[in-house]
Amino acid sequence: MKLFIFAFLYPFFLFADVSFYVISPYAEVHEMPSKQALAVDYLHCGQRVRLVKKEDISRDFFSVKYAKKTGFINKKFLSQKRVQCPQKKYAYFFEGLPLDADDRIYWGKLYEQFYMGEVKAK
Amino acid sequence: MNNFIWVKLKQNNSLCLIFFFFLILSIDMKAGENPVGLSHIQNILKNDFLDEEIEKREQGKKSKNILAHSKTVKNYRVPEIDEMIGIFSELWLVKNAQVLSWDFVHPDYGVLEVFLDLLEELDHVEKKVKILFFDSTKQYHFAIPGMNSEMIFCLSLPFIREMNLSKQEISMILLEDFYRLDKMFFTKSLIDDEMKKIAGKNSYPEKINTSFYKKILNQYDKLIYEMNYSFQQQYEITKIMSSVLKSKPSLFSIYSSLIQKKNMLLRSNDNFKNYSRIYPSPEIQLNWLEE
Repeated sequence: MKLFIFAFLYPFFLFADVSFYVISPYAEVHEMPSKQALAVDYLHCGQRVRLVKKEDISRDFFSVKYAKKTGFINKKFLSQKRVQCPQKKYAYFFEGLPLDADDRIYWGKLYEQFYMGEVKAK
Repeated sequence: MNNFIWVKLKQNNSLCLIFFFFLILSIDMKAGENPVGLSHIQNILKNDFLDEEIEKREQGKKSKNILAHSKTVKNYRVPEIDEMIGIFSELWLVKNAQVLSWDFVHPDYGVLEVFLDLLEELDHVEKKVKILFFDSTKQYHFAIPGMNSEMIFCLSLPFIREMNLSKQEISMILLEDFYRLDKMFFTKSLIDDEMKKIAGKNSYPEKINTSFYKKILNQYDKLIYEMNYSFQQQYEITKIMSSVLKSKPSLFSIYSSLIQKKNMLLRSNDNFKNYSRIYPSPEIQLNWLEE
């Protein structure tokens, strides 16, 4: 019986949407799954994307779908939980920053260039 | 005969009408007991909760408006000083992408892991670190506060290459910058009265003036490109490094060799003369270490 239920529900799990949210202020969307690959777009913090290939979970770059577009995003900048984005938390303060579209792209690039780590408590 | 009856009936009818009129009046006076009374009708109107429904709706509208207003007001929140500086640090790096040339392809030198191990060995735990390499000698190395209590360490690749530094020696440069940041040399120079006044507040109904953002970014330019640490500040940092590393001889010797390398570089290569103006002076630092 259990096997039957599992077999029945398996396709639903397999094709269910896996959503992620952008957690860096801006994130680059690449044409290919590589840091050096051409950046075709950028997403802002809090934006939701859907995982295209489940097998990407174990890789550094996720193939994602958003607003009828697809691309690759470094998984460092994605999380299944929403985070407090400065753009939202301090909406008008952030809006006042002298940022143009190029700057937003560069902000995404900056995060790609950062080597990030943490010394955790023993 | 018939006419007589008809007239009598007519007379009776008008009598009946008069009778009923007074009857209704008297019933109305006993209000509440009679289903046809005016006040009874008013009671029915009251009991159908229409008034309360209208009141509820109006209150709902009011609370909706209050909620929308508080949402609008929330949008005017200004970050606390630490958060604000974190945002400005990243913005400044974005704005200086061309000048510093940090957007370039380079291999992972494995510095982050070595530096994190060093911090852990020195019991500096729960520290979030970001390292950025740049391909210019506009500056050599510096650290600025990042968002969410992070520390951003920026390192010139030409500078490291020129001195042929090991990962451990690079980590010592980062450690000096770590203590500079910890001593708040940068932050203290950056924070001014205007920043203190607006940080952590709500600017509603006005937005922050654009001149504020420009002023802070200019201040970053000055502090990063024109900052000259005083002998006193440099002495302080050298002494902290010495006291922290003395109990770990292998680390102390790495630090000592780093300063010697710096000293050699400044003597032999004019391109890096500017370095001793910013961080005075490796030669004197060596003397301080021997004290």
